[in-house]
Amino acid sequence: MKKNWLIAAIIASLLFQVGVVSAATSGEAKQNWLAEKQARIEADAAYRQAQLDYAANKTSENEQKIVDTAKTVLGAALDEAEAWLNWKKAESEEDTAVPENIRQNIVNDVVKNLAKIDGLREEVSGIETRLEVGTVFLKILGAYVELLVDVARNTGAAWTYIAYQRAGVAADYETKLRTAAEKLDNNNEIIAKLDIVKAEISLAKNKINTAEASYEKVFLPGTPLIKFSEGNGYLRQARENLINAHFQLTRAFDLIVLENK
Amino acid sequence: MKKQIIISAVIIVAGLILAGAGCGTGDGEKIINGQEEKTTGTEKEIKKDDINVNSGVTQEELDRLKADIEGMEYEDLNGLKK
Repeated sequence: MKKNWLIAAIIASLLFQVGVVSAATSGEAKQNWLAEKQARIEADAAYRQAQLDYAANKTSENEQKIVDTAKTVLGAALDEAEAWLNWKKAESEEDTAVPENIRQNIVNDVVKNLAKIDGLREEVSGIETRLEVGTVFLKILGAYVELLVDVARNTGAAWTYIAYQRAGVAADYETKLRTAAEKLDNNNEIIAKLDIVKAEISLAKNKINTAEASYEKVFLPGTPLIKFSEGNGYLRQARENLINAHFQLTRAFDLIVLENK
Repeated sequence: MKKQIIISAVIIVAGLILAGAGCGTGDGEKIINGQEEKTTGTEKEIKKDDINVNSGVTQEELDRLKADIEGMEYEDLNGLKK
């Protein structure tokens, strides 16, 4: 009797710990995704090598190697997709800067798609022949994109929202510093720097607009992951414009400090 | 029975403390996109003493904007290919 309650207490303690560990931060979830991505890349290389070995020497052993490595790479791809979805969920739950409706859409899509992964794993584990590798591979390839597409589109929406916010803050500071500079006698250099800030913010906003248009095309049928990458590319350019804008804002701020001394 | 409840509670609390060890963010640390940035007491004092130049913007606000912009990271999804 005594032993029973002691065991129950230890189990309860372990369950609490599992709960704490599973509630990973978005930083940890991202690291987990990167690790799964690396594992999938390595499994993919092994599968490609097995195909080459079979093409060179069509033995039953090499044929079995194709089946085994294909199962490993498909499983790894599902692990990678699962880790990415978990990362996006953790990120959405943490990032209160993004509107509630976008965050909720991401969380709902993640939950819906995570539920599909177990069924896909069963299909992968059922592969027994080289012929089945081909059909299941194509099926998983399509399902893999389906798993990610909705969350990718909403992630793009969240990223563009944040980018607009950052550009808006930079524009607000530019206006405030310009107002301060206009009260100074010797303000030519400051105004010139603020003009650069304005131009960089304008370029950034244009790129954010273009990124938004790309993310809106993250749909099936089509090339959703390419559109997602395109959107990311435009946002990276907008980030560079905002870094340039910030650099000039800082210079203008320093000059205003000097003029006020 | 009372003793059993107390011992159970002690085991659960000890488990939670162990699970939480190292998970928290310490004083003077902030997390930006998964990366920890440490600020020392001296840095905090310097920021408090920012010169007010009636510009409507503070050095602290500019520093925060810089961190926010630099934290804008976009990861592609390359995934599986046949």
